[in-house]
Amino acid sequence: MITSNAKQIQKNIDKFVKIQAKNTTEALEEVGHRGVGIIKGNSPTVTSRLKNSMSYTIDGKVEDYEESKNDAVNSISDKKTVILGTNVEYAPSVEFLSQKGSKGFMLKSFKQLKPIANKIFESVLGKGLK
Amino acid sequence: MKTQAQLRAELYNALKDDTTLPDEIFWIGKPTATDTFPCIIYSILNTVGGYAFQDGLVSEDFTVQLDVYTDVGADANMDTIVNRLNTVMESIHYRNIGGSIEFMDADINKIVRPTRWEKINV
Repeated sequence: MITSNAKQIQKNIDKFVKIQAKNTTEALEEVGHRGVGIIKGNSPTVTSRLKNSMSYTIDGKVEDYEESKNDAVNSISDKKTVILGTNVEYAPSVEFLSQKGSKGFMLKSFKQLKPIANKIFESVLGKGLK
Repeated sequence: MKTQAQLRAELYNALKDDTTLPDEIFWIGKPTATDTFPCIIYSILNTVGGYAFQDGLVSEDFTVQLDVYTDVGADANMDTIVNRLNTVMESIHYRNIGGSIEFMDADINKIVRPTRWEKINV
Protein backbone atom coordinates (compact mmCIF):
# COMPACT_ATOMS: atom_id res chain seq x y z
CA MET A 1 0.00 0.00 0.00
CA ILE A 2 1.39 3.37 -0.98
CA THR A 3 0.88 6.26 1.37
CA SER A 4 1.67 9.87 0.87
CA ASN A 5 1.63 12.83 3.11
CA ALA A 6 0.29 15.54 0.87
CA LYS A 7 -0.08 18.03 3.68
CA GLN A 8 3.56 17.72 4.69
CA ILE A 9 4.69 18.02 1.08
CA GLN A 10 2.63 21.18 0.64
CA LYS A 11 4.01 22.57 3.88
CA ASN A 12 7.58 21.96 2.69
CA ILE A 13 6.87 23.57 -0.68
CA ASP A 14 5.38 26.63 1.02
CA LYS A 15 8.43 26.89 3.27
CA PHE A 16 10.76 26.59 0.27
CA VAL A 17 8.91 29.31 -1.66
CA LYS A 18 9.02 31.64 1.34
CA ILE A 19 12.76 31.11 1.87
CA GLN A 20 13.50 31.57 -1.84
CA ALA A 21 11.52 34.81 -1.98
CA LYS A 22 13.46 36.18 0.99
CA ASN A 23 16.80 35.02 -0.44
CA THR A 24 16.01 36.52 -3.85
CA THR A 25 15.27 39.92 -2.38
CA GLU A 26 18.40 39.74 -0.24
CA ALA A 27 20.55 38.80 -3.24
CA LEU A 28 19.07 41.57 -5.37
CA GLU A 29 19.67 44.12 -2.61
CA GLU A 30 23.31 43.11 -2.44
CA VAL A 31 23.68 43.22 -6.23
CA GLY A 32 22.14 46.70 -6.22
CA HIS A 33 24.42 47.94 -3.48
CA ARG A 34 27.61 46.58 -5.05
CA GLY A 35 26.52 47.65 -8.51
CA VAL A 36 26.08 51.24 -7.41
CA GLY A 37 29.56 51.13 -5.91
CA ILE A 38 30.99 49.97 -9.23
CA ILE A 39 29.09 52.56 -11.26
CA LYS A 40 30.18 55.34 -8.94
CA GLY A 41 33.78 54.19 -9.33
CA ASN A 42 33.47 54.43 -13.12
CA SER A 43 31.42 57.64 -13.24
CA PRO A 44 33.08 60.77 -14.61
CA THR A 45 33.25 63.55 -12.06
CA VAL A 46 33.03 67.27 -12.69
CA THR A 47 30.41 68.55 -10.22
CA SER A 48 29.73 65.04 -8.83
CA ARG A 49 26.00 65.43 -9.52
CA LEU A 50 25.97 62.44 -11.89
CA LYS A 51 28.08 60.27 -9.61
CA ASN A 52 26.05 61.10 -6.50
CA SER A 53 22.78 60.36 -8.30
CA MET A 54 23.70 56.71 -8.98
CA SER A 55 21.32 54.53 -7.00
CA TYR A 56 19.31 51.33 -7.07
CA THR A 57 15.66 50.57 -6.51
CA ILE A 58 13.80 47.47 -5.37
CA ASP A 59 10.45 46.89 -3.68
CA GLY A 60 9.49 50.57 -3.53
CA LYS A 61 12.78 51.72 -2.02
CA VAL A 62 15.51 53.85 -3.57
CA GLU A 63 18.94 53.44 -1.97
CA ASP A 64 22.55 54.63 -2.13
CA TYR A 65 21.96 58.01 -3.70
CA GLU A 66 23.60 61.08 -2.23
CA GLU A 67 22.15 64.60 -2.13
CA SER A 68 19.06 64.95 -4.31
CA LYS A 69 16.42 62.19 -4.48
CA ASN A 70 15.06 63.82 -7.66
CA ASP A 71 18.28 62.81 -9.42
CA ALA A 72 18.08 59.22 -8.19
CA VAL A 73 16.60 56.37 -10.21
CA ASN A 74 12.77 56.15 -10.26
CA SER A 75 11.47 53.63 -7.76
CA ILE A 76 9.76 50.37 -8.73
CA SER A 77 7.53 48.27 -6.51
CA ASP A 78 8.71 44.85 -7.78
CA LYS A 79 10.46 42.62 -5.19
CA LYS A 80 12.05 40.48 -7.89
CA THR A 81 13.73 43.21 -9.93
CA VAL A 82 16.53 45.59 -9.10
CA ILE A 83 17.21 48.59 -11.30
CA LEU A 84 20.44 50.55 -11.10
CA GLY A 85 20.90 53.97 -12.64
CA THR A 86 20.20 57.65 -12.45
CA ASN A 87 17.52 60.18 -13.34
CA VAL A 88 19.94 62.95 -14.28
CA GLU A 89 18.87 64.28 -17.65
CA TYR A 90 22.33 64.46 -19.25
CA ALA A 91 23.36 60.94 -18.24
CA PRO A 92 22.52 59.38 -21.66
CA SER A 93 24.62 61.89 -23.54
CA VAL A 94 27.59 61.25 -21.24
CA GLU A 95 27.17 57.48 -21.70
CA PHE A 96 26.84 57.58 -25.49
CA LEU A 97 28.46 60.77 -26.77
CA SER A 98 31.16 61.83 -24.34
CA GLN A 99 34.37 62.88 -26.07
CA LYS A 100 36.37 62.87 -22.84
CA GLY A 101 36.83 59.16 -22.30
CA SER A 102 33.63 58.56 -20.29
CA LYS A 103 31.73 57.00 -23.15
CA GLY A 104 30.46 53.57 -22.15
CA PHE A 105 31.01 53.93 -18.41
CA MET A 106 27.63 52.34 -17.61
CA LEU A 107 28.23 49.44 -20.00
CA LYS A 108 31.66 48.88 -18.47
CA SER A 109 30.09 48.87 -15.00
CA PHE A 110 27.49 46.33 -16.09
CA LYS A 111 30.17 44.01 -17.47
CA GLN A 112 32.12 44.27 -14.23
CA LEU A 113 29.01 43.64 -12.15
CA LYS A 114 27.82 40.59 -14.04
CA PRO A 115 30.25 38.00 -12.60
CA ILE A 116 29.89 39.53 -9.15
CA ALA A 117 26.11 39.24 -9.36
CA ASN A 118 26.45 35.58 -10.37
CA LYS A 119 28.57 34.86 -7.32
CA ILE A 120 26.17 36.69 -5.02
CA PHE A 121 23.24 34.65 -6.28
CA GLU A 122 25.21 31.43 -5.95
CA SER A 123 25.99 32.10 -2.32
CA VAL A 124 22.71 33.65 -1.20
CA LEU A 125 20.04 31.59 -2.93
CA GLY A 126 20.98 28.35 -1.21
CA LYS A 127 20.77 29.77 2.31
CA GLY A 128 18.31 28.16 4.72
CA LEU A 129 17.62 25.17 2.50
CA LYS A 130 18.47 21.57 3.41
CA MET B 1 42.74 35.02 -32.25
CA LYS B 2 42.81 38.40 -33.97
CA THR B 3 44.56 41.47 -32.60
CA GLN B 4 42.65 44.65 -31.90
CA ALA B 5 44.18 46.25 -34.98
CA GLN B 6 43.01 43.34 -37.14
CA LEU B 7 39.51 43.53 -35.70
CA ARG B 8 39.39 47.24 -36.35
CA ALA B 9 40.53 46.76 -39.94
CA GLU B 10 37.99 44.00 -40.48
CA LEU B 11 35.23 46.25 -39.17
CA TYR B 12 36.25 49.23 -41.29
CA ASN B 13 36.57 47.13 -44.45
CA ALA B 14 33.16 45.52 -43.91
CA LEU B 15 31.52 48.93 -43.53
CA LYS B 16 33.41 50.43 -46.45
CA ASP B 17 32.75 47.53 -48.81
CA ASP B 18 29.00 47.72 -48.39
CA THR B 19 27.62 50.00 -51.08
CA THR B 20 24.36 50.71 -49.25
CA LEU B 21 26.11 52.25 -46.25
CA PRO B 22 27.47 55.83 -46.41
CA ASP B 23 30.93 56.29 -47.93
CA GLU B 24 31.98 58.54 -45.08
CA ILE B 25 33.26 56.29 -42.30
CA PHE B 26 35.50 57.84 -39.68
CA TRP B 27 37.44 56.66 -36.69
CA ILE B 28 36.54 58.20 -33.32
CA GLY B 29 36.24 61.94 -33.83
CA LYS B 30 33.17 64.12 -33.88
CA PRO B 31 32.26 65.01 -37.46
CA THR B 32 32.57 68.77 -37.25
CA ALA B 33 35.27 68.91 -39.89
CA THR B 34 33.24 67.16 -42.54
CA ASP B 35 30.28 68.50 -44.41
CA THR B 36 29.19 65.19 -45.86
CA PHE B 37 26.21 63.44 -44.34
CA PRO B 38 25.12 60.80 -43.65
CA CYS B 39 28.28 59.45 -42.09
CA ILE B 40 29.32 56.79 -39.58
CA ILE B 41 31.78 57.34 -36.75
CA TYR B 42 33.16 54.25 -35.06
CA SER B 43 35.10 53.83 -31.82
CA ILE B 44 36.17 51.01 -29.54
CA LEU B 45 34.63 51.01 -26.08
CA ASN B 46 36.83 50.23 -23.14
CA THR B 47 34.50 47.86 -21.33
CA VAL B 48 37.15 45.59 -19.93
CA GLY B 49 38.28 45.94 -16.37
CA GLY B 50 39.70 43.58 -13.83
CA TYR B 51 37.71 43.61 -10.62
CA ALA B 52 37.64 41.73 -7.38
CA PHE B 53 35.72 38.44 -7.63
CA GLN B 54 36.18 38.22 -11.37
CA ASP B 55 38.08 35.13 -12.52
CA GLY B 56 40.47 37.14 -14.66
CA LEU B 57 40.65 39.97 -17.17
CA VAL B 58 38.44 39.33 -20.14
CA SER B 59 40.88 39.70 -22.99
CA GLU B 60 38.42 38.52 -25.61
CA ASP B 61 35.85 41.24 -25.03
CA PHE B 62 35.68 43.60 -28.02
CA THR B 63 32.89 46.17 -28.09
CA VAL B 64 32.47 48.96 -30.63
CA GLN B 65 30.13 51.91 -30.96
CA LEU B 66 28.97 53.05 -34.39
CA ASP B 67 27.37 56.50 -34.45
CA VAL B 68 25.20 57.17 -37.48
CA TYR B 69 24.82 60.87 -38.32
CA THR B 70 22.12 62.11 -40.68
CA ASP B 71 20.36 65.37 -41.48
CA VAL B 72 17.46 66.43 -39.29
CA GLY B 73 14.22 65.02 -40.67
CA ALA B 74 15.93 62.20 -42.56
CA ASP B 75 14.36 59.49 -40.38
CA ALA B 76 13.74 57.06 -43.21
CA ASN B 77 17.35 57.32 -44.31
CA MET B 78 18.54 56.77 -40.73
CA ASP B 79 16.37 53.65 -40.39
CA THR B 80 17.64 52.29 -43.71
CA ILE B 81 21.25 52.78 -42.68
CA VAL B 82 20.78 51.19 -39.26
CA ASN B 83 18.92 48.21 -40.72
CA ARG B 84 21.74 47.71 -43.21
CA LEU B 85 24.27 47.98 -40.38
CA ASN B 86 22.52 45.07 -38.66
CA THR B 87 23.11 42.90 -41.71
CA VAL B 88 26.72 43.95 -42.22
CA MET B 89 27.71 43.61 -38.57
CA GLU B 90 26.06 40.23 -38.18
CA SER B 91 27.95 38.99 -41.24
CA ILE B 92 31.24 39.66 -39.42
CA HIS B 93 29.91 38.11 -36.20
CA TYR B 94 28.86 41.03 -34.06
CA ARG B 95 25.86 41.13 -31.78
CA ASN B 96 23.85 44.29 -31.19
CA ILE B 97 23.77 45.27 -27.51
CA GLY B 98 21.92 48.08 -25.78
CA GLY B 99 18.60 49.73 -26.55
CA SER B 100 17.86 52.24 -29.27
CA ILE B 101 18.47 55.90 -28.54
CA GLU B 102 18.78 59.03 -30.64
CA PHE B 103 20.20 62.48 -30.02
CA MET B 104 20.12 65.85 -31.67
CA ASP B 105 23.65 67.24 -31.99
CA ALA B 106 22.91 70.95 -31.71
CA ASP B 107 26.48 71.96 -32.60
CA ILE B 108 26.19 70.66 -36.16
CA ASN B 109 22.38 70.38 -36.38
CA LYS B 110 22.39 66.67 -37.13
CA ILE B 111 20.68 63.60 -35.70
CA VAL B 112 22.94 60.92 -34.25
CA ARG B 113 21.92 57.38 -33.40
CA PRO B 114 24.62 55.47 -31.47
CA THR B 115 24.60 51.69 -31.88
CA ARG B 116 26.71 49.24 -29.90
CA TRP B 117 28.12 45.94 -31.03
CA GLU B 118 29.92 43.13 -29.26
CA LYS B 119 32.17 40.67 -31.07
CA ILE B 120 31.03 37.08 -30.76
CA ASN B 121 33.79 34.49 -30.33
CA VAL B 122 36.82 36.71 -30.71
